[in-house]
Amino acid sequence: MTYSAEISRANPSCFVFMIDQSASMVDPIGGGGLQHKHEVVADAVNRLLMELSIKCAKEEGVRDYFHVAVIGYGGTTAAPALGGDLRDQDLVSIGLLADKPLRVENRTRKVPDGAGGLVEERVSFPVWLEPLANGATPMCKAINRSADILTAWIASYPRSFPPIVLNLTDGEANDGDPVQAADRLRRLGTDDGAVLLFNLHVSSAGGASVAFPDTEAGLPDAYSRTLFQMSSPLPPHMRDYAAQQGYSVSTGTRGFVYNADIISLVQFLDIGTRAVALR
Amino acid sequence: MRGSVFSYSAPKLGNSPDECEDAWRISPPLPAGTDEIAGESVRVSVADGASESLFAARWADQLVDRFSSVPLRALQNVTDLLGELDAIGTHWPRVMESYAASRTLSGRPLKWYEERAIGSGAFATLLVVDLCMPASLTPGPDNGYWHAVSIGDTCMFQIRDDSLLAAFPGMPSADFGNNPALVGSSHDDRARLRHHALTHSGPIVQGDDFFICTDALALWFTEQVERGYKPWLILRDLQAIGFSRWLDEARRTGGLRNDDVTLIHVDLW
Repeated sequence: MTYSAEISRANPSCFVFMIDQSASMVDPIGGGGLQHKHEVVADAVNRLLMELSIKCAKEEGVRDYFHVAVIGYGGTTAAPALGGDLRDQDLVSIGLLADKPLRVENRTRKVPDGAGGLVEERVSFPVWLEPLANGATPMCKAINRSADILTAWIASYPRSFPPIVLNLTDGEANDGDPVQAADRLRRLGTDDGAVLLFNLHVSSAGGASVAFPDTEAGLPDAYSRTLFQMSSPLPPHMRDYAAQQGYSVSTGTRGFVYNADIISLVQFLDIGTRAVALR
Repeated sequence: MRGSVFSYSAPKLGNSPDECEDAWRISPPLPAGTDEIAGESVRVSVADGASESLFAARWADQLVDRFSSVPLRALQNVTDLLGELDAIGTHWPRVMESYAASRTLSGRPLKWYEERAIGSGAFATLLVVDLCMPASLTPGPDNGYWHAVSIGDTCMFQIRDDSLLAAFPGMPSADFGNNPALVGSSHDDRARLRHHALTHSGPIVQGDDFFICTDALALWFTEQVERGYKPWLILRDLQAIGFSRWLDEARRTGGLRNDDVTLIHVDLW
């Protein structure tokens, strides 16, 4: 249980996104944010998939260091949520995923101009997931679906870096106790460690944003405390990367984020020498 | 200067040879068909492209290509070094434009992730070692010198009389990791680069061995030395042992991390 297995094409890891697409996700996010929860979640997934693709990209394509599942849950179902050519597929390689977004949008971003100012730059932004909100919140069904997918995956890759499951939700499960389902999911694992379950809680409740806490004290409601309890502690090397990015961490730090950005999660993954500018 | 240069390079296990992102040059090039140094000096330039950097191999190649011919003073003071890096960085956008145009012409325009990677820049470590022993001088202990510049964790080890005489940069094994200092293609971090660029020099005599290693092998070498072993005894015999055979064994037994590996051995016999 070391979380030190090499991530490579011969020894890939796995990423499962569970996306809450229930009716309550159409509400606006708390804290004065202008976006709605289902938009925040879709944007987070698209950016995570983009960063994961770029992390694995080389000149002749994206190397298959990861297999990816995107499961949407809403109404009565928990089912594959990707569209287009990837429709209905439980697992796809990151290379295939990178080549098959629904569309690539042109967006602008501000970048340093080298003289102390900022200039606008056009960038490509791939979109795999559209915002969706409908019906009830079968979170337990989604967790169990993830467990089924990962049980088969682990049988094929028993020595790989353990799968990471990221649940993006407002936490209002209504098909049972998600804590028990999460316990079962976290008991799965490879020779290198147990499955890591992380949670991004997008909430209408407001309150201060929280990223990678080591205690549930201070979390605003029962939903956030439940999601914190479901979340895996960060393995030591991920804690180190979180600390490098300015997060306050301890051995109790968990993979839980409340109404905050979770894109840094991709930076917690090791595939080799990091391409970062000097500091 | 009497000596031979032996070069070895291999991709990460599981990758094809053309996926190796290490780049290196020997300058002046060795005469065809021989491994012997012709002249009073030889320069070894090695760059290790960062795994997460999409155009790393291309950038590493640009670096060693340029540094194989820069004036010696660029290895002796950081201001001149930064000037050379500025020149390469200024040229880099044209390299990328040319590449993008060639892709378009071939009917394979850049993918979205390649376009984004161009904006992010490319990154690599760099180590350049220049060995010089003027023939006009009487042989003696102080008549030859090496000069080197380093950014990152590609390392040089100098062996004399069966002992490690110099390691540059002298990194303990604990300092190796996934976040070495890197030369980026963008000009944005040139000021910070000044704090990470190291220069060093030292004497050479006939009989010295130099081993220039990218990080996985440099780490292995350093760990061996820290444990009281003499890793140069094996590396010196790789022509006889066979590099691939030795590398496979070193990786399999767990002593050598799976990564691209480049080794340049300069044997001043």
